Amino acid sequence: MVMNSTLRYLLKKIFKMIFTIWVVTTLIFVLIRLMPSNPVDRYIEEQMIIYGIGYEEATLRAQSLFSMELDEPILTQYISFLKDVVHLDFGQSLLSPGVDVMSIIAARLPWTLFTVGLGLLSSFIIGIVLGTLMAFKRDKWYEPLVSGFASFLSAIPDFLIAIFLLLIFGVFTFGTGHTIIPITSLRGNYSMFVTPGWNMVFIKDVLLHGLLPILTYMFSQLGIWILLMKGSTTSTLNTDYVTIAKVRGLKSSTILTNYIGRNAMLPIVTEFAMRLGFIIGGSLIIEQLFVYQGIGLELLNATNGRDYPLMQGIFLIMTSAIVLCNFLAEVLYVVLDPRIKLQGGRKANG
Amino acid sequence: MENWILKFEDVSISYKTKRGYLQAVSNASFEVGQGQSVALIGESGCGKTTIATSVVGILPLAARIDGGHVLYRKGDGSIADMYSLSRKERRILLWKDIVMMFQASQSSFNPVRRIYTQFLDTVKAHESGKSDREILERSRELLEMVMLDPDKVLYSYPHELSGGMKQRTLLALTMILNPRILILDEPTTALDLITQEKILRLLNDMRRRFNFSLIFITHDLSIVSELADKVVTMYAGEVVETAPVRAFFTHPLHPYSDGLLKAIPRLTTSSDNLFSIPGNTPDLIDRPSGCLFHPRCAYEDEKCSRCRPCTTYLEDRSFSCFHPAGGDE
Amino acid sequence: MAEKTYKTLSSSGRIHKALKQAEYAIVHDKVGFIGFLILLAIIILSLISPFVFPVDVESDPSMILQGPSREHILGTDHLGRDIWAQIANGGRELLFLSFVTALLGMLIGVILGAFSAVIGGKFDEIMLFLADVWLSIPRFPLLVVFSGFFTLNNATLSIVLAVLSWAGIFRTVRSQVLSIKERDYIEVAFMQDLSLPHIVIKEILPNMMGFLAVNFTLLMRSTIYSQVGLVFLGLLPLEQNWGVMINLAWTQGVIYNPRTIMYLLAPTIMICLLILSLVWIGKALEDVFDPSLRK
Repeated sequence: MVMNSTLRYLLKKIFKMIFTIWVVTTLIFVLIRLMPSNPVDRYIEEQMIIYGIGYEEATLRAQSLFSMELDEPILTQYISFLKDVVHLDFGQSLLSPGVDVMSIIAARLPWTLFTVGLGLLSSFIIGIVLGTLMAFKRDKWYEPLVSGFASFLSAIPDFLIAIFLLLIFGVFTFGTGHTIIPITSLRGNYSMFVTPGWNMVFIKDVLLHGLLPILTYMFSQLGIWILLMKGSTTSTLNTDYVTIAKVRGLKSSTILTNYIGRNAMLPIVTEFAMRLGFIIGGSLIIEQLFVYQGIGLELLNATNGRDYPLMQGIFLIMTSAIVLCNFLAEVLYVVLDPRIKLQGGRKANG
Repeated sequence: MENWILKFEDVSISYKTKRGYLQAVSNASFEVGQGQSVALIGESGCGKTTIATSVVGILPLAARIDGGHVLYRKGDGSIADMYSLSRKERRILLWKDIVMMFQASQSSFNPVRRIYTQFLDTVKAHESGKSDREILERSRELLEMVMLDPDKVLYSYPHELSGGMKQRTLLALTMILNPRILILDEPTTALDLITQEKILRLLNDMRRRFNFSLIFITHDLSIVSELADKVVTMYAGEVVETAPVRAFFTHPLHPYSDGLLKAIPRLTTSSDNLFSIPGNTPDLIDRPSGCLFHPRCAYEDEKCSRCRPCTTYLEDRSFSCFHPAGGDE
Repeated sequence: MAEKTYKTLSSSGRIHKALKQAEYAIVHDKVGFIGFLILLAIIILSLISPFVFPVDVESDPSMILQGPSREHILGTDHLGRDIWAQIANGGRELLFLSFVTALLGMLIGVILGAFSAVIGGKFDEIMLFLADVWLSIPRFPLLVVFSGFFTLNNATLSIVLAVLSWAGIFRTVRSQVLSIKERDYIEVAFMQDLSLPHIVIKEILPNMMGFLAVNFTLLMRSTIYSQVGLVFLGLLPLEQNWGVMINLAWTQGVIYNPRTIMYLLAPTIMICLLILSLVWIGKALEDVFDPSLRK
């Protein structure tokens, strides 16, 4: 019975995941193909005007570029578009003809995942430790300071934090004559002179280049974790089962990990996934600010250059990544909180 | 020879509030005998829960122990003051010697872990060297004793059990280390009458079998009559009367005890005649002069509003009143 | 007759309650009050600045990128225009845009959420599912992609943002309405066979005012984020606001010229202040309307 409801819960979530990706795919198809003066029609017109070629030939060119069968009925086009998306085939970039969209994504995505992931992870760890600590030190003088700083961090947009960090690390000299980090030489993902690979020089260089984006992601998320963890630990501390655990004479360390920690973490886990989508969105601006060659900057360049296949590919991959993370968080939540299963299968409690 | 196992001596506890300190318990003294069952009764806010929780050291942050001792006579005869123990010393005594169960035992189990893990870690926190199998074996016996199906309960999550089942499971858990004192804070509120009755019968059974001392807090005088050997009446943070259970019901000395007894609805009284004690409990921050009960007392006179009555000790009972049972001292 | 007396009672009671809550907010929530003062200052500045601190329309080549001086307290920009005047005038558009967007977004979310909760059943389930789906689509990248297909300006952005934010408000309004629906007086209204819109507008919405106010400030905040973000990326036409100043300061390479850092720093700080004031006010409102949160 329990197993059954868990299964149903998971199936529902998988369905939601697929449905979401389908909605986004369809949305993109409508934008590219069906809107009045959509990019495909415009491209054909442009080709006809610029090169003075006929409609058929221009359509052929567009066909290979957008990887669409433009002379088929729209429904057939839609189905073959869906098929291509399933096979991760987004056609070729308009700006750099001959280059697969997927290969551009494959080259850029790891850098964004690296900076966003490291930033999120470090903020998560620091935030949870600080948040738990603040819950226990509610009566100390420094608690309002930490919480105030946390609510400041959580309120202001990430790109403004990036500007502050940039000013502190890369612009102000604080009377020493040089900035903390040589910001101008840190454009891009790594220096020209290092050889990529698992050597210390390269790893150090990559970390230095990624430092400001990582710090930005970290600080922009830190406040939320501190506040959430403080709140959820405080409310867990007041529960009966924690009180009883004390009366049972359990060791403080057992109570902290198995009783307070596990329950206080529950609401944080779902938030983690929600945040991820938000940061990936923010990476657009952050990567532009620090000239960091990740997927966000690539999407921006694609948009500015009206490189529709690339835009569509990146956006779909971004959405899929976020949807997948949401799904994983939901699965993790079921693993961590046994009560969820019953809500999925409602009747199981009867 | 003295026979007490737990002795409250002049216990005073206050809460810090915005208006000032609220005297929740003041100079409360009473004893709990070896194997005795003591009922703590009184209206809400009279300090009975505060004094009980102070024994196990889980008072809220705003509470402060102003004075007094809770003396506990250990198994080896030595005496420990629960208030001056270090956190570690207290931790060792908790659940092994003294257990406490709360009003809201519905949520006493960690919701994200199965029941058996909570039996395991309780034992492991106190007795090293016991295998999981031994502990589970013992848990099974206890669960059977409280008439539960051990295999089902042990591997369930708390939310999969009903309220009554959780209560009985917790009861089984309290006995796992053979404690010497069991403190129950309103053990049966929030349960339906039939479950209540079951729990009471179980408690009596277990007392006979394990011979622990029992302190329980209740509003319900019918439970007192079924379970208690001795009744401690508290009013506004003070112990106003202690008496053996039979004497309490037949011949209460303090007017407040008398009032509580009269307020019990009986089938033979019509609802019009139902008695209730007039007035409200006094303000515990700005307390009235003299006897705290005098504004509500039928026998109140000039002396009552001026002086606070001392505690008078008789052979097996005590009271704090100038007019015990309505007469003169 | 009986209904009439009930109404007057409740409305006078409501005013009294609102006053009490305002008093509580000012006395007990100093941070919220500071937020309120900041917002008030920005609003007043936005209103008077066209007359008091007019923006320089002409550039002054002799005064390009000057540091702070007596004449220009925050220095000048790359065209030699006074920065303080731009700061004073730069909040108006943001405030207006975020206010209108929030209003529009609330309207959509509240209508959908309230009716979905009241109607219930399959309709509600489908709406909730759609909202869930919608929420997992990354919003800012979607905006950027949109801007590749349409030319956005502030008016269209306002509408797009309001439409995009329906799901979040829908979900919170829906759950609020569901919990209010359970309360006795709503059940009584249903038993009296009052019409659905009547119940939603007259009975349910008034009880959600606090909650709506909080969400309103949140929506304003996210609008400012999107607007400033898009302006910074150069995807919106450049008008007169703080986001544009950041964009221009950035593209003019102000960071390599620490003397004129105010060109970048001042609008950044102003946006922070505006957003902080909104968040603080939102928190204060939450406390005021939800007595259970009071210490």
